[in-house]
Amino acid sequence: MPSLLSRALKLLTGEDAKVDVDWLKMPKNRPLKKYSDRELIKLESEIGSELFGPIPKRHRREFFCLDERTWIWHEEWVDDNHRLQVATTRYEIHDHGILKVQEGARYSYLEGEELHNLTLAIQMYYERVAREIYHVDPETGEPLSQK
Amino acid sequence: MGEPTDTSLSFEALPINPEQLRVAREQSAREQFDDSMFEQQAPNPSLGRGAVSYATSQQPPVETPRSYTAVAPQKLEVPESPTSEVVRLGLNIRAMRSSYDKAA
Repeated sequence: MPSLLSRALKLLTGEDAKVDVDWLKMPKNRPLKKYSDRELIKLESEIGSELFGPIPKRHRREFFCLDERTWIWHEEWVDDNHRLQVATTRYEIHDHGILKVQEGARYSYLEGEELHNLTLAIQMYYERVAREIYHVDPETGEPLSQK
Repeated sequence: MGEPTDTSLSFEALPINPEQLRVAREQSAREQFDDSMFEQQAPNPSLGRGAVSYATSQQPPVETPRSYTAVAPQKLEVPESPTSEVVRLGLNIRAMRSSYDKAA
């Protein structure tokens, strides 16, 4: 029985001969959708936002690695006066420490508990995105399915 | 885990403890282990999951199944040099991003 596509082409071309429509078919071994860096970061950020537990109602949180020396924590929420509040913190990795940069030209190097928590958060982020997005072993970098 | 009340967000307000990290790693590794074991034990997709468990109960696998703990990293503490470790992880993440297209 001719496929719907074959019949449609036959109607269009008016030819009775067997219509070759194989070239129109999507190859079965086609690659999965390719993501841009921006889209990958967005996927990573969904994991990053979960690292600190449930996100409060009316909040939107993003936490992601921009590049090897920059991490971003962005948070938006609606305050009691129904006004949107936004806070973005950039963490810059310098050789001698991690600099926290916030709005209003506020800069400070992390230390103590804050440095400890950020480091753990980054480790968790790495573990989870490696396994859940890139499907590689975070220790070896080998694909998990081949283990 | 308090809500931020101003723009002074900091990681002091959102603490993470090593136990949380350990649980997340084990859970992630366990899920991976379960998935891979199911794939290995399903000789015929048409049999379905129930038939697979029946088959495995009749014929125990010769090989000892790989334990999920084998893929769960044991290093939980903050490294001596957090800065270099964070850079290393960031570089790995960028490498995974750039190789993602080829792997997909």
